[in-house]
Amino acid sequence: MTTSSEEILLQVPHVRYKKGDGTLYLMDQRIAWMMENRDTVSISHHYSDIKTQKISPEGKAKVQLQVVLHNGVSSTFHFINRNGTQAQAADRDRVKELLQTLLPKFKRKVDRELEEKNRLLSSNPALLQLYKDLVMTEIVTSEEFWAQHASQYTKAQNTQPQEIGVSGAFLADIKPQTDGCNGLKYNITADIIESIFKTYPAVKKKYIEHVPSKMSEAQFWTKFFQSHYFHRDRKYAESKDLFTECGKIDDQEMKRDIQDGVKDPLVDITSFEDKSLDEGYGTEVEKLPGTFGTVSQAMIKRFNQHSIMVLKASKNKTDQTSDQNGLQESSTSAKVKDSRPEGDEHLNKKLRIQEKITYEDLEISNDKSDNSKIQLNLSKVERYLHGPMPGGNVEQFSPNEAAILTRAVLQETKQWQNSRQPSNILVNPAAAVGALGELSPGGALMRGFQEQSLAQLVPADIEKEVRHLYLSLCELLSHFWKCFPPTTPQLEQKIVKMHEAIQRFHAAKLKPFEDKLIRELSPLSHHLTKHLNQLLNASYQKFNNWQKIKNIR
Amino acid sequence: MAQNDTKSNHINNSARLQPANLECKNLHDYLKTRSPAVLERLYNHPTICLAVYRELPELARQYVIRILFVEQPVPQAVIASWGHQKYAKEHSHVCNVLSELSVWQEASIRGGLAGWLLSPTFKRNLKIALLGGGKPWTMSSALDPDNKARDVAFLDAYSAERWECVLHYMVGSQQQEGISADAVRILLHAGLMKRDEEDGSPVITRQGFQFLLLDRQAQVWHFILQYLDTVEQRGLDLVECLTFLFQLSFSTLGKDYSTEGMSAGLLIFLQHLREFGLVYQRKRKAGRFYPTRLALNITCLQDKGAIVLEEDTPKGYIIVETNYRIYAYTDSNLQVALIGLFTELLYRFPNVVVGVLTRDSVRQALKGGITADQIIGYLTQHAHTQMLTNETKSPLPLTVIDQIKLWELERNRLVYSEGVLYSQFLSQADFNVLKEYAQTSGYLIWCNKEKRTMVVSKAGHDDVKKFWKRYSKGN
Amino acid sequence: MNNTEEIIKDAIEDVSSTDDVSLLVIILDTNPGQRILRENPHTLTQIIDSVIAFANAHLLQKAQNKLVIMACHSRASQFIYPGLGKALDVRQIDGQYEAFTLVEKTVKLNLSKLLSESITVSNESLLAGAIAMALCYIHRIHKSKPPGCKINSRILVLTASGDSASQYMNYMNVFFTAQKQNVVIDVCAIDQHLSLLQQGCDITNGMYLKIPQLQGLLQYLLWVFLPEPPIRKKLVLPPPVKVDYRAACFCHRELIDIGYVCSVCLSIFCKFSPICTTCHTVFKIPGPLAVKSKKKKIKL
Repeated sequence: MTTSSEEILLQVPHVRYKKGDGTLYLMDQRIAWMMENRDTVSISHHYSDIKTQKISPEGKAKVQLQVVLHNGVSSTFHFINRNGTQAQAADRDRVKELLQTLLPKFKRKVDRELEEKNRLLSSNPALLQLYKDLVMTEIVTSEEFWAQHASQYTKAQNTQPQEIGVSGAFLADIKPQTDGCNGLKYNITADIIESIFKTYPAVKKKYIEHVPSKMSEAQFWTKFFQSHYFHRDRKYAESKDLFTECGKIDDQEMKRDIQDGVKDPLVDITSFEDKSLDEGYGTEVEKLPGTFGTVSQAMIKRFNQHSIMVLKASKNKTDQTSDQNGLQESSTSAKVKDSRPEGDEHLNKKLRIQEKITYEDLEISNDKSDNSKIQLNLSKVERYLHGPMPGGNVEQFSPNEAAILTRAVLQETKQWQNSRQPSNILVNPAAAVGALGELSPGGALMRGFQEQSLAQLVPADIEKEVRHLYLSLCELLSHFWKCFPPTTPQLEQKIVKMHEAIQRFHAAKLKPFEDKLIRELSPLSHHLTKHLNQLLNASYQKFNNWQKIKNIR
Repeated sequence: MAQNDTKSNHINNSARLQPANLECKNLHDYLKTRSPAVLERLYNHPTICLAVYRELPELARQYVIRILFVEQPVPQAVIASWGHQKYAKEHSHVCNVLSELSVWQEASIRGGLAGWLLSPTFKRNLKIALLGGGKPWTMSSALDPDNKARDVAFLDAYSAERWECVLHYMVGSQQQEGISADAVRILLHAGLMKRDEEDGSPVITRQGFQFLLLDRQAQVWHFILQYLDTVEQRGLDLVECLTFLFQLSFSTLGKDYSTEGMSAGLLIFLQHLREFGLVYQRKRKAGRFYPTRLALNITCLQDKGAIVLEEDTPKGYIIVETNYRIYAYTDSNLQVALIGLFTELLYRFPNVVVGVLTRDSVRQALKGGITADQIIGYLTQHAHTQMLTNETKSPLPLTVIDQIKLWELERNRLVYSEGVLYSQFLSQADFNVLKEYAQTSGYLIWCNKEKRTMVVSKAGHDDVKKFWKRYSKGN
Repeated sequence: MNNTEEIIKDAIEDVSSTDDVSLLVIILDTNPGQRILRENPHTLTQIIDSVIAFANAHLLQKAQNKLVIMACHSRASQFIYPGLGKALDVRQIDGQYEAFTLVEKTVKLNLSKLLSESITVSNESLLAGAIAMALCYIHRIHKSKPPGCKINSRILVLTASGDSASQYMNYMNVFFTAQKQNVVIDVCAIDQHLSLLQQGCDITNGMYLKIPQLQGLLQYLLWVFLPEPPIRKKLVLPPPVKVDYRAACFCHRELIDIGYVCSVCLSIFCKFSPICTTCHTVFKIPGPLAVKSKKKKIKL
């Protein structure tokens, strides 16, 4: 069974397993035991299957080692070195130690997979529900579930995540905490360090120079945060330190950037003057020489530089990838840009400004040619004004008719002066009871009330359960229907499998639910699961048809 | 087993530190305390039926009107089905109210169903009020037109003056005259004022202050209720007076009514009402009287917030700012005195008083037994029209409302409840059993497992004691 | 013990939350040309008495409730309560509440005046106009109300006449105005089903009821229309039926499910015609396959 490619890390003779003596091998993938005088491995466990190892306590008669697998199976090895207990223990310890170093490596792999699945389940409640409904009830197996039903989730995991750029505020986000005695504590994470290196190559250079040869990492960062470089725009501390050089490098870099220019003509990085917005709108503030220059200029410069760095940091990444493609595109494009004539740039700028100040939807169409508009001539406008009913039951009365009508009504009004009719004529008790019956729920005028409130009658938990049923059933059915038309034997196989799963679902989930409904709220038991059953029956029918055709063939 | 309960000590809690507050009953509460016989007599009058109907909860009004024309009992289940299931709680409350007031009675229907049947008297008289029939009310005999008819403005001024007279008397402002010994007697009876221990002159009590902070309608209603309590001592008939009072409350403002055909007792009652400003009469023997705004809709206590649509209602005068300042545009000493109850007055001008709500000033008022709700209610009710213009929000700044409530809560950190102490249990099991029982029945106030001690509310004491006896016997 | 008290307190609070002023405008179709009045003029008395009793029941609910009654005719609509000018001087004649007597007297007096003055020309009543007047009235009340006062307004239309197609636009305008102003329109159809007004109820969240028999009119009114909109949600009332919002074609005035709409003027037709009869746009005569290009099927 052992293949030649496997490397044997340890070989221990005189190991007894289930009353047979043999040799224990520890290989790079698995642990194996071979009976004496045989050449087949009778016991073989992959390290990834092993959960733990156990050893017998000191001082016991038998020196043993047990490996317990994830599925609960365990194998016990008895060390029977003839040189006595000492040697037996030594043998055992060698195995134990090696296993100890080997197991974690494999375990992590398994754990990660499990962890990943766990994470997926917990972050997707719908998937979790599906898992509960399908796997835990053994309608489909776990492997099937992960392979088929959760594939889109797992796939989504595997796609390369988008490269995340550097936040412009990453430095500001490092919040110092006071440690209580006049000092500040900065908490920096690996991410932050990464960001700092990305944006400030000069710092990275320094870091490589100094750490860990000249100082520890912590010292380096302490120095960094203490340095004038970090606090550059604040006005104190003009001391020399390790980062002064960085400032110079940055300045040079900056100059180069300014020379290169920025493609966007709307951005002016050469200007370091503090300007309020209303300047240029007719107000001219006379410059106060020297007073506000230094601090704010330094600040603006710093901001600009920081922004440039941040932008570059993400750009570098893309450049790198394109470099990897073997194209020296960045340099060539730079050359092209340099060689671009001045006029072209001017045009570019114009275009860009044009783009910013025009709004498409505000433009008046310039097509003067189509000026002759067609006048809309409507006839029979009154038809718009008619209601959605077959009109025309209006009768006009002749004066004669009208007079008769009016006289009849007036006659009636005359009686009002005399006395009012007693209240029992107004509504006689019988009519009142009749109206009461009609208007009480269930009465003639209350029709439609029942159906409408059906939705309200369903308790929330039942509703949730129905939703879960739909979710699981639809998942199964979608896989079932996807197999049609079955062109390959695999698909055919899958149809059979899915059909079985659906049947299991029917028996294990839907039936008990229906029984429960009948017990708890009989009036609507069938309404709720009617559609589910329809779905099921459709799939059964399809399956039967398919089988019939197959049998005929 | 030792008898624990014999050793139980009564925690003496009779010295309740919470003073009795002004209890303001509405019509419902008042009628609930009358006997069914009195109610039956009262329901013989359409006016009272009308008043009672209006005071019913909304849902009850619908129920009553729906079965008003039905002569046979209606199954209870049918009536229950008229309301949505969601409001079942309200439905049962409403049924309770209707039974309490004997508006309807239980009646069985063929087939053993339980049904409700409107009280025949109530039904008949409500129908009369609504649709007509029956005898005219006592005060509506025909009258010749009054040659000195009084308009609404005059009546308002008159009633305000009369009523304020009473209020002024209570706060002891200068206007001492114009209030009769009778009114003083009622004030004393109601506990709004009490005799000073030294010179026997009446002084205002804490309830009196609370009374002052009520809105006018509530004041009148409370006062009249107190008056009605004394009515029988005066040899007047309660039902007759109540009927007349409600007739008055359903009369029209600015119209004159005749005293013709009124009994001697009623005439005396009318004179009393005249004194408080509920009716206007030029002369004692004028033969006609005018009801004033005070008498109208006398029972409408529930809807304090509702503002009547009429334009001529008295306007509010208080502006409250978010900085706790209060500007009161008034020159009335009474109103100034009332505001002074809970604010620190800063300035006084001919037409405006400026004050500020401070913690001290509000706490002073709270100590005097005035509640935060009363202060807020007073400020809201007299809020200046400018404060009311933004529709949705409350007229007062929310910060001020919250702060006043917080100041009140500051004082209520202790809650007193009467109870019985159970201690010296022999075993933890006994303790647990009894504790469990008391807890599930909702009597448990406090317990300590380690010391095996628990306090049971006084109401539950008997029950728990019985349970304990049963339990210990069983063991 | 405590618990039940709390429940009751809750309930009370719930009830008193609807303590706003309620303004009810009743529009009564008094056109003598209505079928039921022509057949038996006596029903007018029955209707008027029921309406007055209903109106008084509305006033009975709360002291601050407001009432307006309008009469709607074939040519004009008029307020009949409160009447123009000074209120009548009413003395009680029996045990009825004075304010109720006033309503009854005023309504009957004004109505008989109106009936004797106006001439009936057709059996179509100007209901849309009356609703518009009611909306104006409500608007005025809302404008003049004191600050901080809340008014729930609603309109109840009682009519025995049929739908009138010629007022379609007016109806729709008043319905949407009412919807915008939060005025609920209730409709009580006495004689025949009214599909247009039913739409109005649906639009404004009102109740629509076609009463099965005139006998118990008051009982139906009290049952269905007396509860104000805020408490309607607590009661089980006749459920809203599915309102028919189908459009009628311009050619035969028949309600259609699927029709042809002119892409230029939006006229609706039940059959395809190459020239739109409203705007005279010429459509290409559709070939067997090109049908779809020039006509649009719509589903209403």
